Amino acid sequence: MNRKRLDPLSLILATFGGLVLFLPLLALFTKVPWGSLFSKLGEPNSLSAIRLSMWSSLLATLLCVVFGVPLAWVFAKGNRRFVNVLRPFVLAPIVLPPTVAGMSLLALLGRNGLLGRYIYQATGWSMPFTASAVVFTGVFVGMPFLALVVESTFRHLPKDQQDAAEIDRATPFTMFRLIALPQARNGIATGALLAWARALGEFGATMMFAGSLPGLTQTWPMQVYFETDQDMSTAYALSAVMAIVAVGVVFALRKQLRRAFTN
Amino acid sequence: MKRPSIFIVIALAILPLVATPAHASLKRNSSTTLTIFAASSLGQTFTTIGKAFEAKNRDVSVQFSFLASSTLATQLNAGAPADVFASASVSDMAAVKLLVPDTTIFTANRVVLATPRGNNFHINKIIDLNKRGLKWIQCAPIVPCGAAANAAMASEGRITSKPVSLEPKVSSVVAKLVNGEVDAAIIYHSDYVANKGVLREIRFKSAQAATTQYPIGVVKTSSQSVLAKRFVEMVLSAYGRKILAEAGFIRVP
Repeated sequence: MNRKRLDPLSLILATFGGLVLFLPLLALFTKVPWGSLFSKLGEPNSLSAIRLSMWSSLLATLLCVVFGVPLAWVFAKGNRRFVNVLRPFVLAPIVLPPTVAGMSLLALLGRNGLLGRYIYQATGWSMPFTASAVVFTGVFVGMPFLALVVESTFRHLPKDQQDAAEIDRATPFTMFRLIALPQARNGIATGALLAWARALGEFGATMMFAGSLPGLTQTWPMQVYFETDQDMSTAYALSAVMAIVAVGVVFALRKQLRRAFTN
Repeated sequence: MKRPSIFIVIALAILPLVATPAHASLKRNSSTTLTIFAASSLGQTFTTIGKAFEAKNRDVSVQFSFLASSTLATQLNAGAPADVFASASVSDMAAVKLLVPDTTIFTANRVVLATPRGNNFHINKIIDLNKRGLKWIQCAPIVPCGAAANAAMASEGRITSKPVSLEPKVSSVVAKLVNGEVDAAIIYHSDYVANKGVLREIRFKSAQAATTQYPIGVVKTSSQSVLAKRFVEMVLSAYGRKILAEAGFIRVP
């Protein structure tokens, strides 16, 4: 990298761009009531929202791993033409506006939904307004990130061990379980972390699909939204911790990010 | 070969910057935009009144933001540019009294329990909400329709069941009810009137507890206060009151 190749215009625009991204976050931290941070976070509504968001996003992440890793494996090893057609549909939730994601989930699992109708008629149960709707939304928005990262990891695994296993006539499942999985553990961890952050932060789709009831479906980001109309300082306290989590995720992934940009 | 694509990216990024001012100045020459912040429940009536206002005042286009009054009050206090604020509760108007000092109560509304026609739970009385397995929703208590719902329910007593969701604005509640996601919901009488074909309503015993009043006023920082005042006058006029009354709002003296 040659330093002289940086022209002043690029530097000025880059500075501006960097500030646009960094200043809002900095400003957020100046508004946080640090002195009463823990009492604000300890309010019953804050606490129940944090608790709900933590367990539901972790459960969503677990489901993302259970289903997303095999999905990524199929994408990495399956018929290329078939996969290329299928992949955009599965990754679509990444770029889907949250409200559209919420509409899609209602269209599928609402009481009048494509599947939801039959479930409701048969059992009298429907997913909207339940904690399971919060988890399901997390899986829907989080799994694409995991699948994307893990597929790429599977594609870039060193071939020699897999070749050796093939010579030893390992079954496809043995190959997946004993060779690909351990080799891909860093990628899986990265994907899981991204999926978790996404599930934790989801707001619009969750509010549309799961509703918002304190203690049951009112998540951490929703609590921020409602607190802005009631107690700004609590909203800032809740936001700050989310921002710290977000920065923490990016910090934890700094090696992976560097690798992604240098390869 | 890299160069052209970079230019396209830059062009796309700059396009809104270049295009917007040109478009805005074009608009300023031919018309003025009046921005009205109004309670979510005023969506249909104010849209009608806005069209009539536009017809009367050529070169003026009326733009609405229909959200929960509490959300709009927060936005106003944060400096959102509005010319008129119409709130669904006196308390949310009080929250912006420095910005909207002069207000007039122009109508009132009453919350009711509504249920889709043909619903399996056969809800005929408020107490039917206690039926097992029934799902009902209302607005969050910080929102006017939620505050009125809580007051109405408290006056009713004996209701042990809890709503399955506290929604951010009444239009979200109505949408979920009309789409059949829930068996019942507390909405405004005006929302019921707008959906008479698919809903039935059950009234609360205490009309007073269930009622909320709607104040309206010109925002002090408005750069078009004359026009804003004219809009408020239209809402208060015989025509405005007729539109509101037909939609199920309560006439006020």
